[in-house]
Amino acid sequence: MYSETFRRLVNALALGLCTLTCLLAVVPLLALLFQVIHLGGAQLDWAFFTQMPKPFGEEGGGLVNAILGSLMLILLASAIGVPAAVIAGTYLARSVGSRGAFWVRYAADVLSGTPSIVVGVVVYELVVVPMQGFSAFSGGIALALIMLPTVVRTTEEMIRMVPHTLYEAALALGAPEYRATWSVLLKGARTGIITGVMLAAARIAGETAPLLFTAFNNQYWSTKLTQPIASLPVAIYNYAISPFEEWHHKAWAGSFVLVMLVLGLSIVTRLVTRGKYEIIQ
Amino acid sequence: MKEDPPMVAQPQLPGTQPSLDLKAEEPRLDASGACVHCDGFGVSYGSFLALREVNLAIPPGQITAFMGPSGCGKSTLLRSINRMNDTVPSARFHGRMHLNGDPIYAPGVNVMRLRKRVGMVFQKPNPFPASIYENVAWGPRVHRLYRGDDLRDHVESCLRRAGLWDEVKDKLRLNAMSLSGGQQQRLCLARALAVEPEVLLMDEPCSALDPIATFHVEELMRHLVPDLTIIIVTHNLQQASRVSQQTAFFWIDESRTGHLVESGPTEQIFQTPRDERTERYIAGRMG
Repeated sequence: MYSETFRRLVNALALGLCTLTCLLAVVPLLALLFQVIHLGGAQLDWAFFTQMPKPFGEEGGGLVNAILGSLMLILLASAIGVPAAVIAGTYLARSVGSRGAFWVRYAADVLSGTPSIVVGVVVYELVVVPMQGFSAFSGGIALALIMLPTVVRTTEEMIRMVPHTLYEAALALGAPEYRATWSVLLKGARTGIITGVMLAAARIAGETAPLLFTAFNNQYWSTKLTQPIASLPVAIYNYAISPFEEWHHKAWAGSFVLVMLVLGLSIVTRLVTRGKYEIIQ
Repeated sequence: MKEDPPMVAQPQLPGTQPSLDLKAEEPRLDASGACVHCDGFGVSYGSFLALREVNLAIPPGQITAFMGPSGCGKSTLLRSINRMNDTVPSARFHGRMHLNGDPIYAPGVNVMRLRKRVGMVFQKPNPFPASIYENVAWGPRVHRLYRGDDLRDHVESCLRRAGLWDEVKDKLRLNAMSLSGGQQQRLCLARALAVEPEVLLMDEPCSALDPIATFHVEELMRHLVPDLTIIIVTHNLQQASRVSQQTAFFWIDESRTGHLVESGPTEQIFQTPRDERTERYIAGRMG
């Protein structure tokens, strides 16, 4: 029999360990945010969002082309990746135990573990080379491939959370399966799927490696899908490895904007899905 | 089409043709005047026989209760009438079943059209996570039965028949999940009525409801006949004796196969059962 004091001691010890590990997890995040806000926020001005980059030696200038490029790439990747991923996820949720589902799930798992640089090289070989040039389009495809597994698995999980009796109710009314799938399963899983898409978008917003061989970079203003396009991560990379102090400041400012973009996406996701889960429970 | 062992039918799975023992040109069976007619009907899951050769004629315009202990196959039989068991990949069907003379398990039967004719209310209330109005309008929209103002009138009349109109007429746009359990179940009833079925299957519709809500649903059932044929599965003996005119009593044997013991007018089954097992079950001595 353990004594009361001993039990209290163990309890306090366990609680202390929990607190410590929580701090271990949170401190790096806060440090990162602090550093980025401290060094990046200070460099920010209105010009950063409105002006084009200036050559070294000239004061001021911004990264408006990279910000726009990043937004375009995210949208393009979502437009290519999300429909395919949602359809694949629906297939997985509906065909439990089938051979096809096994291979699709396996492929998604392998893809989610593939280093993003490899995705970049593959897209370079399959899209950039045949198209004879770097392009925003190829960048979108590379990012879509990185989004794919996350959205596939979220869609599958979310559809599984929709009670089976709702699906049965739709079938019992004489609805065809596609109709029951669309307006009961997918509608019920909608909020969850949107969450998955937002998180996947936040993840690809910071991807650099797959863009190096695909979207490449662009010093100029471009919205053409067939032309190379600038993006925040690549711009940060280029500025950060430069030898100029002035450009380092720009890299910090770019990091700040990127972190805020990702943070913003997460916050919007939370707001969109807040209190919506009880409906499908 | 490939030949199958005799008297075995398979559910229609996506991408596969059903292989049935039945002749494609099976004549309409009208002799008994039954609404649902089972002729040696059985169900197995893989090698397990769940329900053995049921011969049963369910009269139209009445309430028929399926009674018996758990696992006796009464729910399986009920879910076979609108072919909900088709979704179980290993399910196989034997014998024949007819709905108002039309074969239910025959090659080329349109399952969606069949399910439109056979409505179903489930054990737990399962309204769609949408508005009250959308829940009732969903079925008619799928089958393109009504549009515009006609649809609105139809939704109202279904909610009236389900005894829910007065409670929800001011909040049709509200989410169905905001209703109480009993109201949700009546909404599910309205939703099932909205596609104008000939038969209504009710799978223990009151087991999740309190006595007052149960009373409501039973009252409604009495009002729905004789326009509608109702088949209800119930564990509750009092409920069976209260609402049904016909009773079918099922039992389970040593190999866990369910079968029909006897059927007939409820009064006769409860007062002068022919089988000893029925008598003991009703007396509360077993099962």
